[in-house]
Amino acid sequence: MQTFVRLMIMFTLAVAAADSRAQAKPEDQLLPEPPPPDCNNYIMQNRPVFNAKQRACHYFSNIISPSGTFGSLFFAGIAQWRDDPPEWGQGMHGFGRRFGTRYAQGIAKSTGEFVFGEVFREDPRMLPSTKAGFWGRSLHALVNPLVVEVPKKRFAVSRLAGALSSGFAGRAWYPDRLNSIGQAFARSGSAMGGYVGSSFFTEFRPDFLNLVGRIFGAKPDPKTKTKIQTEK
Amino acid sequence: MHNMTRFRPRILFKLAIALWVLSLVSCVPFRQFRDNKPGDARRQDTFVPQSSFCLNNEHKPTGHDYYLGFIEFDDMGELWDQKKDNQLEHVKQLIDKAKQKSLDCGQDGRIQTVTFIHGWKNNASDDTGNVWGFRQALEEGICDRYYRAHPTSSTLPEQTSGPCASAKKEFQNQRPAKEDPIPLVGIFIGWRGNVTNVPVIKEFTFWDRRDAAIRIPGPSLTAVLHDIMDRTKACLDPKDTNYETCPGSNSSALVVGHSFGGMVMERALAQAMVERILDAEQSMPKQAMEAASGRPQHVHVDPCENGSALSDSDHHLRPPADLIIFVNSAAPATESRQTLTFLKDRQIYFCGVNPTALESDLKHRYREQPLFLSITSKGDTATNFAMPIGQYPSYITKSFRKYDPPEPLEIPKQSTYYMHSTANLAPLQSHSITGCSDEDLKNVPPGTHDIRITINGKHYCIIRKWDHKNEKDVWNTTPYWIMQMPADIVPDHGTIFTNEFQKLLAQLLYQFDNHAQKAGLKPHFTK
Repeated sequence: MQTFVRLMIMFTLAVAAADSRAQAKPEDQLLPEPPPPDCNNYIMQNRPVFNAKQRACHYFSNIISPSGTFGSLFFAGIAQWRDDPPEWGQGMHGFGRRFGTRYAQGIAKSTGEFVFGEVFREDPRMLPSTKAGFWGRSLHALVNPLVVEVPKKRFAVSRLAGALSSGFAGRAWYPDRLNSIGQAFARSGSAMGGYVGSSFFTEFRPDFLNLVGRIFGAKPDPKTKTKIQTEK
Repeated sequence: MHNMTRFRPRILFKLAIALWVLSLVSCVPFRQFRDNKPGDARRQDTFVPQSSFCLNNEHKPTGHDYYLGFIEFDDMGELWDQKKDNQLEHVKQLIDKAKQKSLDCGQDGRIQTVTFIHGWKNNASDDTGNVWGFRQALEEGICDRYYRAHPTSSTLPEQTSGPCASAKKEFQNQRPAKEDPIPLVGIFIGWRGNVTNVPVIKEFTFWDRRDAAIRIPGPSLTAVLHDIMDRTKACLDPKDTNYETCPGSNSSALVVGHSFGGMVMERALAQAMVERILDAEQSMPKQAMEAASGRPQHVHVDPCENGSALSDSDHHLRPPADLIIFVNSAAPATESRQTLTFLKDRQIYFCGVNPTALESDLKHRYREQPLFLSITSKGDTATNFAMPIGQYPSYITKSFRKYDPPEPLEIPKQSTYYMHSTANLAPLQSHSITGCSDEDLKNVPPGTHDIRITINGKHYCIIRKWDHKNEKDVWNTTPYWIMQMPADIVPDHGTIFTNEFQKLLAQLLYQFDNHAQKAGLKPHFTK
């Protein structure tokens, strides 16, 4: 009983102390600025060199992302329309297999890239070039998937590993006709093509978005435009 | 097939359980993030610079030279912290502290406050990106002013690395500005912009968070914003009533809202600002009123030219904020249309102190400035392309009319305003940002209305459209500037705190400050 009373008194005192600290004025408890968190979207966009935790965050944000999900849905839709491969049939079942395949290949690609990136300490981001001309920028976009720039410029082992993982992962479920080593390499090649496409998008993103803005931006009503021109 | 029918319910059940668990663990807590929890720096609601020195010849920026405070609102628009000694009180104390430092450093108690309201998928915690982006933007503001006053003369790597690296490069070999950086106070207004961290699913919270952004701007937020602006422009000594000369009163207040934060801001401030403008109108000199009433609407005469210094009795003409910026605002243009037509019909203008005019040039010491600035990236596909889709479900349940005659002529339907954001409607745009040459930047003619800025070595001019086209073609000549910026500065809707945008903001903070060296001159409304 005595122990219980002691515990209760200690608990009450501890709560009171914590409460008085919580109510202290800000001047009394100013702490130094906290270190930046590891993985918020500002840090992920602006940090010059990624640490292991940031590489892991980049990996997790890649495997469940709107672009991965909607990209897989889009390409599964095209494959469904082309009935590719015909062995998987049509309907929801066929579409599910096609979507699952693309999504699983995407996960395999990201996982391969992440594992090798951790081993070789490679930064997974593709940086845009500092050049100005179209051809210079295009060349940079073409070469970029094969090169990592951070921490130093060298061949990107992790991306090659990612592409091969993606190509060979499909061997577990593709129909026998498409399950040869040659086909797996072909799928790896197309995964590498995905890196090139992504590199081009990174490089020309501002120009592309400016163009989209011009195409989809609100335009004056054509009838009114004619009316204004007539008035002038 | 038999296997499939037996198998599917089990899979679906497991999937549902997994989704339920995922949504539970990924739910963003509904709480106040800055509650001064003892020992946790991530939960403090105010921060002061790490060094207590004045920034001058002897002391350079350290990377943490700004003041920062947080004020949070709940999902219904009420202040989270309703204690007597709450976040708002701490922010007011922070503003006074910054003014005292400015006074101690010989800067007449002058400070600049920047109040920021975030948008969708953000809140006041360190876990979302805007808090850190805002911190960096504030430091960039300090760096910009410091290296304007103390330009580097060397390109040695040690001269262009460390804190403020890019600002050092920007002002190399330039003529130094007169004033050392004044204290910069950032105030981060938080609300529940982020409800879940589940990828993909959080994209579908658009409508729910849009409704929250409509609910939040109420009396509490309007009062807080006015408290911040009034405290910024008040005398440091509360007993002093000599508004035009007392220490601290020459401070400037800027407000920035991003995405839905722009909508929150516009809804919270527009009506209150209109009221202040109507008050100011009553205090305007008779001459200005008569000149405005006789002036046809499409003729734009520079109302700020030959402006005189304000006296104590003119303090009604001073606005509560020096600039209100909406970045990639996700508010439909129906929000801005009424403010625009109010300013246009009444021919209200806003004169600011011209930082580029020489002191002897009395004609151009004031220049036309924006009170509202809506700026959207050309790469912002969310407001440009997705917003009309997002607005469609609510569009079909509402009634819209046609304007007769339309103002501007190019937009005859009310629904066009509802479906698009302000800066994405070309006929409403008043300015444009274009690339400039070195020559453009060196040879600034007196009285120019163009604003010239340099971002990472690239020069941009913010030009008035009506200076470069037939004046009749540009409808918006009001102090509500509307423009689009290149995607090089802000690439898309969400990524606002790029280094380029931080620099743009830093230069706007400088351009639209009150500039103490021009004593007696204050920003004011005119006709």
